[in-house]
Amino acid sequence: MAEEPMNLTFREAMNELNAIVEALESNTLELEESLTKYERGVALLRYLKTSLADAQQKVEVLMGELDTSVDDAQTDTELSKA
Amino acid sequence: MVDTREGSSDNQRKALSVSAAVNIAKSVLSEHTFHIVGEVSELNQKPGYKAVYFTIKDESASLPCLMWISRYKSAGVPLRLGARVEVVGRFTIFAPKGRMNFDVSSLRLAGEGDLRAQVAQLALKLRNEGLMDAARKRPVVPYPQRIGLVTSPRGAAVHDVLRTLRRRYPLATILFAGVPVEGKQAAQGLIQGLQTVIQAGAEEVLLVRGGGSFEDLMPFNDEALARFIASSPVPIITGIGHEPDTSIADMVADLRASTPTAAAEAVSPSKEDLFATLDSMAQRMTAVFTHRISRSINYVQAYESRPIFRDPNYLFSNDLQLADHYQTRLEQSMGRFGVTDASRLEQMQLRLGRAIPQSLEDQKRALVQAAQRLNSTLGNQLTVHEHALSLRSLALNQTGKTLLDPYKQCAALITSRLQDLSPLAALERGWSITKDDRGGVVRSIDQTKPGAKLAVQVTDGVIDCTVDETTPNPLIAIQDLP
Repeated sequence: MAEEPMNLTFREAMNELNAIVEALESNTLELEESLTKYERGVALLRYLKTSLADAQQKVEVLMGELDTSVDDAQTDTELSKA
Repeated sequence: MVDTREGSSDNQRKALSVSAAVNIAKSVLSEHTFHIVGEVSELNQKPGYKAVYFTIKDESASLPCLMWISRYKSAGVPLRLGARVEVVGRFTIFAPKGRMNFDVSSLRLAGEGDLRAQVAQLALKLRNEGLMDAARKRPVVPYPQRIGLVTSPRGAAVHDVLRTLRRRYPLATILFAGVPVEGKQAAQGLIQGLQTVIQAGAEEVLLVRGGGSFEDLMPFNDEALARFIASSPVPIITGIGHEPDTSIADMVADLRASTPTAAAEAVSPSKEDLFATLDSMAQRMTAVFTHRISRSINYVQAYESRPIFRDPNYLFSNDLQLADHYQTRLEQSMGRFGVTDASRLEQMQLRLGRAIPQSLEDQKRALVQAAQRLNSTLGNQLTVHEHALSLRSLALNQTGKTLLDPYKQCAALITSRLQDLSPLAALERGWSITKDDRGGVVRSIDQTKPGAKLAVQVTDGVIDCTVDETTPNPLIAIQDLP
């Protein structure tokens, strides 16, 4: 049984989805197999889109202290003025 | 000093020899040490010479210099034409030629020219070692999970990178090492930062800093840093300063971007592009799958239109006719010969028993297979989530159900008819089957004789008998069964 999409990394899911699309497009699959692959592809797609939409950047500070005084909104404003 | 007043008696002085005069001048000149800056304009450096001879100049003057080989070597600075140098030494005179020289005791490259030359020299050395070969450079990691970031914790660069990655690709965790990027210890700090994020699992590392002067960027020209980058187990992407500054770190990195933001963009696919890619994959997948389904539907429809599925009687018509035929014959025979003609009846029953279950078995198997194929094909339609496919699936499923109903009715009919015709039913009605001691069915008195053993099979068991005598049936001569 294939791994649950949520247990895959984004890259793994992306690679698997690519392989599925190529396999389906090769037009060599039996109906049952293409159905299984299609369902898997839909699950992977859903997982990839959700991950991408819900992702929140995480920053782990391993050395030094990240200076947070520069607020991004402010920087953006300054950049747009420049 | 030369007295120009010839014949003067008051200041009568002895004329100096050339050597003496030159020596006096020489000693006066060499009293002072000078620091002189100039551009090397001539250079004479031959093997075997005890000194290096060169000339330094500025816009309006030039000065021949010499530097003893031992001193030149210890200075460690290679002279080249056009180099701006600072020399320390004294004026002197080469007596045999009467020529003034500047005797250089120490030499260094002057100002920025010094740094640039050193960097250029290191770059050349590392290039010759192959550290900058294109073949060594690794591609950036597609869809990275963990991206290392080594830069100053202060300033715009770190925020440029974080903002760019958050906007484009928030999926990745950023492993950040904030280290000083200027000063003497900076190179060592950068190496430590790289080590730290790589150990923490970074799949690739961004090494960035904002623009600065050539001197500011010197830590990125450090040899140890360059060697660390070249031997790093993961790709390192630089975004240092702005064009046209190219540091040695840039040259040995796997990918060189011109700014921190550009470096961040280089390692991150953009969210918008990714969504577009996913949408296009979804479309491709659905299109090709829909096509695949309609191919299967056509296939099933081709079967559906065959007579065997249109008219259930078609499948069993032969057997039904055959059964009717045997029934008629059986009724005729029974009417003709009465219940006493056990052997004839038994023969017919046996033949019926052989013929009907056999053909029914074949038909049943075919029917089961067809039903299985239908089931597996039709069953699949139901799981398709696309609306259009669901509709088709529903239609097919409906067809499947209506297809099976006539078979069920037909099968029930056949079963009940078989029940009627079964030899077992005949046994229940009082008929029996007689077998000889080899198990063969005894159909004729010719097959046995007085004294032989017979086994008579009745509905609930077997009666073992011995034949006393046999009596022929007087009507046997007109028997004519097929």
